[in-house]
Amino acid sequence: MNFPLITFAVGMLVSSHASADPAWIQVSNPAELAAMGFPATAVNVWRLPNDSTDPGLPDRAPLGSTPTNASYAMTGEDFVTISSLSDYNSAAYGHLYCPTGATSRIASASVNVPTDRRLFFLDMWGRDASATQDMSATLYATCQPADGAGTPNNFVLAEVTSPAIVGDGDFFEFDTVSETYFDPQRCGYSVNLVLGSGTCVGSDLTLYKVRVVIGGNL
Amino acid sequence: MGFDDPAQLVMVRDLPFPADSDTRAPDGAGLGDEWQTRIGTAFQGRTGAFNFGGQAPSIACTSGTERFATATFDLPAGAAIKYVDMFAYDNSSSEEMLVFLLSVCQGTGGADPPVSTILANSTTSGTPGDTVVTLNLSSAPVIVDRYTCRYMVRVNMASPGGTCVGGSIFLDKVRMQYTP
Amino acid sequence: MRCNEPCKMTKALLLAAGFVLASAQANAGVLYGTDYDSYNGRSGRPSDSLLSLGRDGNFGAYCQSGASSGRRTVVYPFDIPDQFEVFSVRVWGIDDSASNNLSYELVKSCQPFLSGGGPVRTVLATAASSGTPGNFSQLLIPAEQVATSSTCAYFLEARFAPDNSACAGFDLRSVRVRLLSNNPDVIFRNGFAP
Repeated sequence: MNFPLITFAVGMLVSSHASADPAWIQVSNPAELAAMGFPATAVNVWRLPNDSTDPGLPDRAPLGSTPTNASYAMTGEDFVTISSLSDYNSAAYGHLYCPTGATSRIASASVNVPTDRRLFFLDMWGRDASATQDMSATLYATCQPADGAGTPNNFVLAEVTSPAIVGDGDFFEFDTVSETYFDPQRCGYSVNLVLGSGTCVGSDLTLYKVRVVIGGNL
Repeated sequence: MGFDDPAQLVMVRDLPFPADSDTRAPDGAGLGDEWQTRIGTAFQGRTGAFNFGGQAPSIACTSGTERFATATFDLPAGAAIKYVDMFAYDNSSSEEMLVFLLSVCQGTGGADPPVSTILANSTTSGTPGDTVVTLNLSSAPVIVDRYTCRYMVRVNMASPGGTCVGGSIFLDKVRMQYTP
Repeated sequence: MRCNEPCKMTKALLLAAGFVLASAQANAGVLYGTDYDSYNGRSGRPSDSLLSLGRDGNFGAYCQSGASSGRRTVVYPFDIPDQFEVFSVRVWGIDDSASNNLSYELVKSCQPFLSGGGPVRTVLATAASSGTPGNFSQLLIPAEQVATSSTCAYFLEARFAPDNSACAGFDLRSVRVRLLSNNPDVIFRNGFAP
């Protein structure tokens, strides 16, 4: 990687944005790119580092109550597999898993969010009863010029990974996100779901729901 | 309904008897009602074995026994769902199309599986041709809790026989009428 | 420092990214009632289960070679509230195919309000990629702009090839679709509604 160039570019990003914003980091590890469903040689994937000290984040402590924040949720029916001929199962409403032995384990869903709302949390519910594999959900922005052709860039905004097995494997996990705002004029938003790292393990890795929590009311 | 796990807990809403026939009009009959529609093509098979075809907006279940397809709705918080209308073509002498409205809810912070509740259901009749099937919830509308719940409609395109009948049954669209 | 071709490309990408990020808070479209809805390419629904769709590294869709028969169309359903004005649909894609273009139709499909009747399709606007290789973007502006969502549904069809014909594979990709609509009543809704 050309470090001076990246430094220059990151400097451009920071200087052209609010000074408190974090720098974006290029995702260049081929294995990591492949695990996320990108070509291993992709040069247009960037990550927004977490900043858990951001004072603007709302208090997530009263998790049991219904907050006033807006949200956009996706269940199994909202996801499409990476190839339309790949097998999947969403028979139980909301659930999604790839059948045991299948090799296609990546799916994605579009996220429909209003302009200028701040992203707060990425939530994921699911079941991870696999001793060897995890599932993950990643929120991406894919951005292009607003009114013309251009090469897309992909920005990782938030990531959630299932934890080690607890009880029967049901889990809830969330990611707090550094300050970023949605801009659907220039970017499309997607959640990429990865059900494990090898051949599919069936309902031992099951998605229940992914939710994007944002500012304002909806 | 298309659940494949006999051990799964499924709730059924105790829906009051439908109100007397309401005035319904494309402009909302002055009630400020709005609509959200999912075309047949937007319905996704319950599993990858769902075989379908057709010209948008309509789909037919073309072959096999996997006959369930589902679409989610994205309604504003606090909206009151009053009607769900399924527009279809049913010219089959052996099969009907069933329609189910469900909510799938999970509390924030809890790791338990989602709770599925059947809010209403109905079926096409034996009368051949284009048809509309209405789920009338107007006497006790479902209030949308979008932070906790997801709302979806599932169709069964071949009941009771269970084998798809191709172009004898088409799903055109499902429309929700709600008060924001 | 000399900058070779890949270096220049990287620099351009990052500058573009900087533009995007810097602009993220500057767009106040909602102030005027305008609403942007973006859909990644792979979120489109195949109109036929025989269609073999793949996903590229930008969540875009392509029609995989070898699909046997049927329609080569993906459908992007839109949520447009009643009486909203449909200003435009912008599409982004990549066309490196010498044989196929990606063609789009913005379609309105209407049925009776509360009685049986087959859907009546009306094409509101069309566009297509050209023979120029590389990234493309096209704008579809409908001839009729006010949505009647109580009786009609709206969607975009993207066609990779004529029915039953060979697809161009990875050379022809639908990357993103964006609907621009406007709420003509936004002042009253925001300022005077109870």
